[in-house]
Amino acid sequence: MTDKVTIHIDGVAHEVQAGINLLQACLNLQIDMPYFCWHPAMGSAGSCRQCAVMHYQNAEDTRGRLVMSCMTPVMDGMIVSMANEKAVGFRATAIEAIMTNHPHDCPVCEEGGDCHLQDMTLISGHIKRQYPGTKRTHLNQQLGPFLNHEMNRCIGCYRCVRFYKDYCGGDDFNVFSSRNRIYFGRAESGTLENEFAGNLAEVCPTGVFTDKPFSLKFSRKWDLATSPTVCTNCSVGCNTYTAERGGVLRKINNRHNADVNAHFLCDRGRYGYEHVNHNDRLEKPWKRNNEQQKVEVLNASSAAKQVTDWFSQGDTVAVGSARSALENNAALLKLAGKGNFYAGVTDVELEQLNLLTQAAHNLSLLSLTNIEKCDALLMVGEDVTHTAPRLALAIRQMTRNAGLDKAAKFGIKPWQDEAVRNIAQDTRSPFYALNTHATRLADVAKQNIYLPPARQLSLLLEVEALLSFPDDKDIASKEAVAIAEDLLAAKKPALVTGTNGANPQILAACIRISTLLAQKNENSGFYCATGQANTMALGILSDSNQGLDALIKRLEDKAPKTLIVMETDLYRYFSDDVLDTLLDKVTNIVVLDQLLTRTAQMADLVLPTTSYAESHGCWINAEGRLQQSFATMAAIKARLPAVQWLQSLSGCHTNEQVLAWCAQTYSELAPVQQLLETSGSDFVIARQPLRSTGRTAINAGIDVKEYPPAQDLGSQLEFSMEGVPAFRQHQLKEFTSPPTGVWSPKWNSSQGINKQLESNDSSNNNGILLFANKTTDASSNLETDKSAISSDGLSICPNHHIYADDELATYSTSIQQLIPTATATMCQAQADSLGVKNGEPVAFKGKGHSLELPCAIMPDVCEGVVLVPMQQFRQLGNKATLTTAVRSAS
Amino acid sequence: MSEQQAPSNPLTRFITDDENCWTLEQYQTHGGYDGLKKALTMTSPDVLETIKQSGLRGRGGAGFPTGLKWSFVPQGDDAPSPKYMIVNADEMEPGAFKDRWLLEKSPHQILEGLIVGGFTLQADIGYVFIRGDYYLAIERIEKAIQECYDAGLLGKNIQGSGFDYDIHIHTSAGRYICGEETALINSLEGKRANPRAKPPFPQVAGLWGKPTIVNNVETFCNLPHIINFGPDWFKGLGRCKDAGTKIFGVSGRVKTPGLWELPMGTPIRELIEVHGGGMCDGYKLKGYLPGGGSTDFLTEEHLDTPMDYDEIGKVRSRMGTGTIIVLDDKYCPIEMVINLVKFFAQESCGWCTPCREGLPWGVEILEKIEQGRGEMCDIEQLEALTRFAAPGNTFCALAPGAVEPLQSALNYYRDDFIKHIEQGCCPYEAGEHNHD
Ligand SMILES: Cc1cc2nc3c(=O)[nH]c(=O)nc-3n(C[C@H](O)[C@H](O)[C@H](O)COP(=O)(O)O)c2cc1C
Ligand code: SF4
Ligand code: SF4
Ligand code: SF4
Ligand code: FES
Repeated sequence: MTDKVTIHIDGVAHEVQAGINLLQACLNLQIDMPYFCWHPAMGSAGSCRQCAVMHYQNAEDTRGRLVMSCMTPVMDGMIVSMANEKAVGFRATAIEAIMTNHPHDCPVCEEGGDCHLQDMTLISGHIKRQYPGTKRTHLNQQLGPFLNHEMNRCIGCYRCVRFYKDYCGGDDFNVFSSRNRIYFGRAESGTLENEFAGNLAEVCPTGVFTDKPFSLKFSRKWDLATSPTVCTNCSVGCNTYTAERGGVLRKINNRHNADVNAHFLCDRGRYGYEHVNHNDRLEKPWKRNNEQQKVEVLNASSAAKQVTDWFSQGDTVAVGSARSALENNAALLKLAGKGNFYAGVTDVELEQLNLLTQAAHNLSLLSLTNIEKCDALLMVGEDVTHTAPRLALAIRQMTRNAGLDKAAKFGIKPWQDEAVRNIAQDTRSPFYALNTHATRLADVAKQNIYLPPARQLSLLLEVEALLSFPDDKDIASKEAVAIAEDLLAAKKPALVTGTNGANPQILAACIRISTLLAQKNENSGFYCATGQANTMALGILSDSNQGLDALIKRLEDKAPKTLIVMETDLYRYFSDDVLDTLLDKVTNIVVLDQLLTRTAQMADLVLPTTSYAESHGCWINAEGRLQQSFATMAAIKARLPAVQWLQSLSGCHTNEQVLAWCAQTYSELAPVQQLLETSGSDFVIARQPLRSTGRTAINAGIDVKEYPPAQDLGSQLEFSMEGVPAFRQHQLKEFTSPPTGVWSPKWNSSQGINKQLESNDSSNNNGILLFANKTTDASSNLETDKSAISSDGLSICPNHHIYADDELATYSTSIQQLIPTATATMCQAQADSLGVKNGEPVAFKGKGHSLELPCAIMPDVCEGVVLVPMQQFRQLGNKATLTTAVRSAS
Repeated sequence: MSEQQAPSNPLTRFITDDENCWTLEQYQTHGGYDGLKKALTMTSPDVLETIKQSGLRGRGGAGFPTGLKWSFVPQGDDAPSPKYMIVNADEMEPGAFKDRWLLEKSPHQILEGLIVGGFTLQADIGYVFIRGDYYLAIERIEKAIQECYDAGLLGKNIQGSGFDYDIHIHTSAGRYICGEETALINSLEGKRANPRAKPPFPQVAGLWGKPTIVNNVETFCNLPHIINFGPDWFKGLGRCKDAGTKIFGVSGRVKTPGLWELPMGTPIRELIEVHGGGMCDGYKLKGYLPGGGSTDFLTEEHLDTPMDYDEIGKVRSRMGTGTIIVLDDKYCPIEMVINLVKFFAQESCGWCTPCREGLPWGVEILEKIEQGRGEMCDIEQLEALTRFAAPGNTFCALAPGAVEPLQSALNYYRDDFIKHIEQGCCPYEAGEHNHD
C-alpha cells in the first residue's frame, strides 16, 4: 500500500498519496488545476508556470509564497490555497501571457473542441485580450504522413521535445532558437523518424501537431462517436479509443490502461486503421458461379444456408485467424472440430506458441508497466520496436531506472524530470540486445550483440549454464558472463523475446533461462512478443501440429471437400506457385473476411465480416491478457461477425455463448467466466458525447428522415448520445466497459484523462490475466537439440519492419508511404564473401518458391546472416536457402 | 616565499597602468602564487575554514557567502568524483565590465584563485567559462594556463603536494543566460543554455551530475590574498559589515567613468562624485542603477548609502555587480528602461512564461507609451507584469532582474510615464535620445 499524507487545500483536508507532486494530487482529487508542461508520464518541467498556488509555511503564515504545484512535493500537513487572490491572478496572467502569441484560430484549428489550451483558458478565466502587439509567426515543416505542423499555435510548453527526445530517444526533433521565438520541429522538413511520433498529436496541448490522416476526414470531437477498443495491429494489445462519424472510422486515440500502453501508442497502431474504410472492404456475400463465369450476390440467409449445406456434406477443414476475435476463432473451431481446425499461423509459430502457453503458468509474464520497472533486461532474437512497438518504448524507460535510483539518493523524485536527467546523465540500467543486427534500442543498450541465430543460441546456453553455476566463468564468453552477472544482480531482471524470429530453440532457451531466473528471484519476469493481435488465442485453442504448413500438407495429401478460411490470407504465407494448384483441388472454398484478399479472390463463397471497429470481441495479448474491444459503429447490413455467420453450425448464437463454451472447454480460458458474470445491468452507455450536433443532418443530402439509431445487442453501449456520458461512467460500478471517451465539462481534450488516473483501475477494464495462476508442473519439453546448433553456414533471417509487417496496417495510405523497399540486407563482409554489390540481385528459394531481392549493405548486421523482409521470409519459410548471388550484367 | 606587506588593494595590485599584463615570472616576483603555495601547506579543510571566516561573498551578483556555498560540496573518500570548479567569466550584465578588466590585466590571479579553490575542495578539473567576445582575455588566459603547466602549477602533483588539477578554457557562444550558473553548466555540457531545476544544487550534482562550484571571476581573485594575508586582514578592508574590497564602476554621463578597487561599503556618493568626477556639465543626476542593468533604480536621496550588500538591500535595490549606471535629467527614463527590458527579453532563454512572453509584452507596452500611444491602464498592466516576473514566479533570476529597473522606474519616475501618456509624446528633447 502506498503511504498517505494529509494536505490542506483552501481549508479542506485531503488524504493524498505520498511522494507525488501537488499538481498530480489536485488532479487526482478532481480539482481543476490548470497546467501545461507537466505530463503524467513525463513528469514536471516547471516551465509554463500555469499551475501556481499559494503555499503557507504554517498556520500562522498569512502571506504565503507562490509555488508551482507541479514542482512541489506533497508534504504531510502542507497548507496551500488555490483560491488565494494572488494565485488566481498569477494564473490568469500566465494564461494571458501564453496567449499573447497564440493565434485566434480555434474555428479553423483541428484541435478545437479537443484542445487542452481551450480547456485551460476556460479554467484559468482568461477572456479579454489586453496585449497590444502583433504575434510572432513561424514557418511550418512537412513532417511526413502522420502529423501536421502549425507552429504559430505553439505555446512553448516543451512537452513535444521532452516526449520525442527525452522519452522516446528520437534525435531528429528538437527545440531551436530562444526567447519567444523558440521553435519545435526538425532541423529541416522531412519525415519524423521515430515510431512514436504520432503521440505528439496528443502530447501537444495545442494544434501545432495534429493527426494528418484525420485531417482528410476531419470531424469535431463533439460529432464523433467513440468506443473503447483494443489495437489489433500487434500482440501488445494497446488500449485505444476508436472514433467514427457517419460510418467512417475517423481516428484512433490512446486509451489509458495503466498495465499496458498507459499514455502512448505506436504509429502503426494509431494510423493502421484505414482497412476499416478501405475500398476493398467486402460489402455483400458473393457466390462464384463457374458455369456462367459470374459472381452472384446472395442475401445473408441464403449465404449462411449455403455454408450449412456444404458443411453437412462432411469433409470440412477450417482455418482460424490471428487477426480475428477469440469468439470467432472459437466458434469456427467448435464447428470444425479440433482435428479439422488449423491456426492461421505457420507451424513454427504455433510450435513456439505452444512452448509459451505450456510454460506460461510457471513464468511471470510481465505487463509493460512492470517491464518499465525492471532493472536489468536481456532482449533476444528480435527488435521489438518493429514487432511489438510499444514494448520497445517500455524497455527504453526501463533503462532509466538506475538513473532514477541515483537521483533518489539526492532526494529527487522520479517526476522531477529535468533534475533526474541531470543527475542520471548516462547512467542506465543494464540492457542487452542480442540480435542478428542493430536494433532501434541500440542507443540505450549496455551492449549490443549481433550474432547469427545459432550463435545466439550458444550464448544463451552459456547464460543458462552460468545462472545455475555462476562460478564457471572461465568456460563462458565474456558477453555471457556480463549478462548472467547483471541478471543475477538485479532486483527485477527480465528477459524479452518474441516468436517473430521464427526460432523455437531460441524461445525454448529463453524460457529455460527465465524459469531459472524465476527460481532464483521471484520478481524476475518474461515477455514474449507474438505475431499478431490474437496469435495468443490461437496458441491456446489449437494444437502444435495444426498450423498452416500442416494445412498445406493436408491439402497435398487429400483435398477436403470444403475449406473455410476465416480472416487469413493464405497468400501471405505461401506463394502463388504453391497455393493456386492446391486450392483448385478444393471443391468449396468459403472465405470469411473483411477485405478482398488474394484468398478471398479464390473463394467459391465470400462472407463479408465486420472489422474490429464494427464488432465486440475479446483479444488475448502476448502476456495472456484477455481484453474486450467494443464496436465503434454499427456494421452495414450484409456484414456480420464470423460468430454470426457460423451460428447455426456452431450452435452458439452470441459471443457470450461462445465464451461460455471456451470457459468450459479450455482451462486457460476459465477466467473468461468473470466477464459473463459481470455483464448485464439496466444502464446504457452513450458512445456520442453530449451534445452531438449535426446528428440528423449528416445524411440529409441523401435522405431527410431521422432514423432511429442502430441497436447494439452485444453490449451496453448505445450508438447515440443516449445513456450515461463518458465522464460519469467510471463513477458507476455496474458498468463492465471502460469509459467510451474523454469528454467532460471543462476537460474536453484527451488530457482530461489525466484527472481520472486514480479512479480508472476497475480490474476487468485492464483485462483479465489468463496465466496469473501459478502452477508448478514444468512439463513441456524445452530441451534444445544441441546437434542442430552447429550450423556454420549462412542464415537467412527475417528483417522486421513496423510498417511493413502487419497485414491490416498496410492498407493505410499513410503507413504505405513509410514501407521500405524489400532488400536482401547484409554487412559488407558478407556481401564480399557472396560476391554481390549494393543493389545487385540475390536469389532465394524456399517452400517451393523462389525470389530475388536487391542486395543492401548495412553496417551492424552480423556476418553469416542475410536479412529478408518478414513478408518474403514468411513465404520462403524457415528452411530457405540462398540459391545464387548473381552478378548483374555489367 | 617573500614576506609581503598586507595590501589595501589586493585585486588590482598586480595590474599595471599600461596595456600589458604580467607573465607568470613577473607575477611570481611580485608575490603571485604565494597564496597558492601557502594553501598547499595547509589541509584543505583548514583552507575552507579560512575562506569561511573571511566573510567573502560572491561577486557575481547575488552576494552569497562563498565559504558557506563551498561547504555543501561532499568531501571524503566516498564523495562523487570528479569534482569541478568553474570560473564564471561570461560577464554580460549591462553596465558591467569589471571582470573583463581582471581577465585581461590579471589572468594569473584568476588562475591562482581557481587552483586554490580546486585544492580547497579537492576538485579535479577547473574551467574558465568565458564570454566569447573577450578575445584579448581569452588569449591571455590561454597563455597563462600554458605557463602554469610549464611551471608545474597545473597538472599532476602540483608543487609536490600530491594534488592533481587541470584547467580548461571554454569560450561561450554569447548569451546572457549562459552566465546563470546552471545554464552555464548545461551549456558546458553541450546542451541548450536553459537553467536547471534546483534541487539538486550544483554543489552536489552539477556538471555531468558531479559536484560543481561556479563562482565569479572577482570572487576567485580574492582567494589567494585571503590565504596569504588571513581572514582578519580581509574583514578589516571593508568599511561596513561586508568584508574585502570590490571593483566598483560608474558609467553614464559622469566626468570620469571607470573602474576602481575600493573598500566594501564605500558610499555611492563617493563613487559618483569623487571617483566618477560628478555629472558632466549641464546634466543633473536623475537616478542610477547601483549594481548593473538588472537592479532597481535609486535616486538622489540614496546617495549616502554604502555599497554593502545588506545596506543596499535595505533601500530596495541590489549591489549586483557593483557597477553603477547613471541616469541624467536629459535622458528619457522610459527610453532607458525600454533599452534594458528589450535586452533581457532578447536574452530570455525561452523556458518559462513570465520571462519569455511577459518581457516582450512589457516592451510592447513601453514602446507604446514612449511613442505617445499609451493609456493610463498601461501603467497598471506594466505593474502587473513586474509582479508576474517577481522572484519565485519564474524559473531563474533573469526575469526578476529584468523587471527591477522597470518596477523602480514605475515608482520613482511615475510622473514621466503619466506625462508621456497625457502629452501623447515623449517629453524629452528628441536630440537627447540615444537610439542605437
Ligand atoms: C541571468 C543571469 C546572468 C548571470 N550572469 C553572470 C555572469 O555573467 N557572471 C557571473 O559571475 N555571474 C552571473 N550570474 C550569477 C550566477 O548565476 C552565479 O550566481 C554566480 O556566478 C555565482 O558566483 P559568486 O557566488 O561568486 O557571485 C548570473 C545570474 C543570472 C540569473
Ligand atoms: S509544439 Fe505543442 S507540445 Fe511543443 S512546445 Fe509547442 S505547444 Fe508545447
Ligand atoms: S504497440 Fe502494438 S498494440 Fe500497441 S499501438 Fe502499436 S501496434 Fe497497436
Ligand atoms: S526566467 Fe525563465 S525564460 Fe527567463 S531566462 Fe530564466 S528560465 Fe529562461
Ligand atoms: S505545469 Fe507546473 S509549471 Fe507547467
